[in-house]
Parts: sequence; structure tokens; C-alpha cells
Amino acid sequence: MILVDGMMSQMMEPVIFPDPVNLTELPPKPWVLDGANGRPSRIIKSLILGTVEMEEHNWKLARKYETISREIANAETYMTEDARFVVVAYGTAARVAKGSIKRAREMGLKVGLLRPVTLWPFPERVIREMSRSVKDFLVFEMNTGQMLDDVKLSLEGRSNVHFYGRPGGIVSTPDEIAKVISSLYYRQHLEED
Amino acid sequence: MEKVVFKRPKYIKKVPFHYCPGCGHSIIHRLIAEVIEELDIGEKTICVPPAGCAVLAYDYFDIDMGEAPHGRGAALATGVKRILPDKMVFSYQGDGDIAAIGTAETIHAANRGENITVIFVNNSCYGMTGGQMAPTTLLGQNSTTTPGGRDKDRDGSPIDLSEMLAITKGAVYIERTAVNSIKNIIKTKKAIAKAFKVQMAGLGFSLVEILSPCPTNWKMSPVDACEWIDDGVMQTFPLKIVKDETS
Repeated sequence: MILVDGMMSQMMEPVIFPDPVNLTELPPKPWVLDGANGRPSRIIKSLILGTVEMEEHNWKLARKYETISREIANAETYMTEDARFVVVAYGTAARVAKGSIKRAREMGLKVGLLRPVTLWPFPERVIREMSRSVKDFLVFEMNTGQMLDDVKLSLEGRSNVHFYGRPGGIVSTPDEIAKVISSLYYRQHLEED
Repeated sequence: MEKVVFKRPKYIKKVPFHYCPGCGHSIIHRLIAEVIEELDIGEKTICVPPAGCAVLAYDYFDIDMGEAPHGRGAALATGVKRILPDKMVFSYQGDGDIAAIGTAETIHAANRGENITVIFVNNSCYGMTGGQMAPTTLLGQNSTTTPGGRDKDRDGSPIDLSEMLAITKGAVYIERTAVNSIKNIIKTKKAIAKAFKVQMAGLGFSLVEILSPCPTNWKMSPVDACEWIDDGVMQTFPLKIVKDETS
């Protein structure tokens, strides 16, 4: 599932498409339903009624999810190398946060962005590793805190987690978030060496 | 010398059916399998079974089977048929599946004139979930959600999906039959064969609505249930060729 917000669907900007994929070499389809001609009939179904069969299937799915969460969890980082304060935001909020981080940098604050590209699986390892040097994270969302618990669970109490969010309606501006960042930054005395 | 006069159809697997005694699905499965065998289309037919009692049709028919999400039989059949226009594609759906949850998909598939066949089994209730009111439940009919009988003012009147579909431009052949007597079973088989032939000729959307007994949820004996189709169900859903633009 690709999670988008309404703002994204209304934006336009130039994009560069990747090179086209060669579709003449598709993998074989041993499952396809095209008539049982010279082979046994096939069934495609999602319903599993047998209790034993269902548990086996659910274990299979659990192993699959485990592999997926190990292999595809992904996050973008922006100006985090020397950061003392990191904003965690996704989607449109991440774009707003980038603008606010630029402003905060102009003010001399060492602020970076961590943008989860995948929200599930959540890139918890990236955040946890970042907590070695960053002791204050600001979760910024365009809602009242849907990702907040994910960040807290990833950090397991290693760093402080602050939150700023507004529900749908008015979209926060970079200036607004820059103010939130700077007030937290000074409150936590991050300007001191 | 022995002569075989009655046998398991070629395209029905050798497994016991789970259907209740007196249920119409077993008869309808047999009729479809016989038609497939007689038209010699078993190796090119794909069936889309429904959500409901007949979902397990995928274990009974020995042809390719692709289960649809609830109500979306006609939509899934549309996809299969458009990718494989030379194959025979039919959905098998109950009244709760087709006339409630999948009404929109069904109407639009018919209106587009998709060259698919729909077998619509109408037992005037939600069978698998225990006999709740369906859109097709008769006025006055008892169900677990209409104790004391379906009331027109409270529950609305039964919906005649076949008539609704008939007004779409793309529907070519729609007939309502029943499986409550030998005579009606023979007529039903003819209707199924005709619907399949309509698809083979590429004429457009075909549907056979089959009035089918549900003794368990109607709380009747199998014999009484068959009689009730004559005395009750057909008063609301009369047997007829609802639409035939094949000639």
C-alpha cells in the first residue's frame, strides 16, 4: 500500500522517470487461470477454512512480513551529520520540515530531518542508531500523532521525543515549524557545547 | 450388458459436497458441469465463485476457478474475459452476493455489455451466514433479521435484479428459472446452455437467475421448500425470459 496525503495528489513538479523495464521477459506464471488445457485445474483463492491449514498460512505470512521489514525499511536523512536535534516527518509534513530546517540552519541551529520513506515497516534501526548522538527528536505530523508511538517504540526511551501536529485543515508553514524547532532547541539548551 | 444412464459429470471432482440436504446448489453445479461437458468447453472455461455457501464450488468444479471478493464476481470475470477473450468465463453468485454487495459491479458489467455469463442463484436469503434478510427476501418472509416477516415500510420491498439488468443496453439474454421440479431443472439446464452459447457467439452479457431452495434457513423440509418456490417465491419472481435479444 502506498500512503499518500491529499496535498501530494494536488502537487505538480517535474519528475524524472527511471529507464523502462523490459516487459518481454516476465517470470513464468504457474498460477494463471487460462483454462485447464492439458494440465490439472487450478484454484486462486484467499479463503482458508481448515484451522491447521490457516495457522500454517499465517506462519508463512509472518515469516514474509519479517523478511519484508528487514529488507525494505527505508528512511531519508537530511542534514543529520552534525545534528543535535532531528525532526521526524513524512509526506507533505517532511517537505514543510525541510524548509523549516533550512531556516533553523540559517539561525545557526544544528537541526536535521529524518523522513521515513516506509512507514511500515518502520525504519526503527535508523532512528535508534541516530539516538547515539541525538538526544532530542521532534515528531511533526499533519495529524494529532499517528507516527508518534512508532518513534517512541523505536527509541525505547533513549532520547526525548517532542511532538507538534495539526489535524487536517490548515497546513503548517516552514516558519511556524522553525519557531517550534528553535523554542525546543533553546529550551533543551542544545546551543551549549 | 450394463448401460450407464447416470453418472458424475466429467467436470465435477470426486469429493463430497458440503451443501445441506435439499439445497439447490448441488443440482445447479451438476447442470453447469453437464453443459460444460456437452459443449466441450471444460479446457477453456474459467469460473469465478462467490462469497457465500457456494464459495466452495472451487473445490467441486474440475475447471480453473478464481475466487472473487464478495459481490465482485462480474468485475473479476470482466478482467479475465478481457485478457482471455477466447475463453469461457462465468461467475456463480448468490443473491446476497450479487443483489446487495455487488449490485454496482453487476449493473455496470451488464451495461458495458461484457461478454460474460452470470449464474445468479436466488434463495431469497443470506444462506451461509445463517438466514438473514437479503434484498431478495419476500415480503412477509421470516428471516433472522426480519422476525415476524419482512415488512415493506420497515425493510423495503424485494429487489428484482434481473429486471433491473434487463434495462441496460449491454444485457443480451436474461432468464429466470428454478430448480424445484424436474421440469424446471430441465428448463434451467437449457437456459444455462443458451447463456453460454450467447457468450461463445460474442453477443454480450448473459445471466440466468435460478430460484433455489434453502430448506435449512427457510426452516422447511426439502419437499416443502420446493413447493414454497412455486407458491411463494414465484409470486414475486415469476419464471420468464426477462430479456432475449439473441435473435
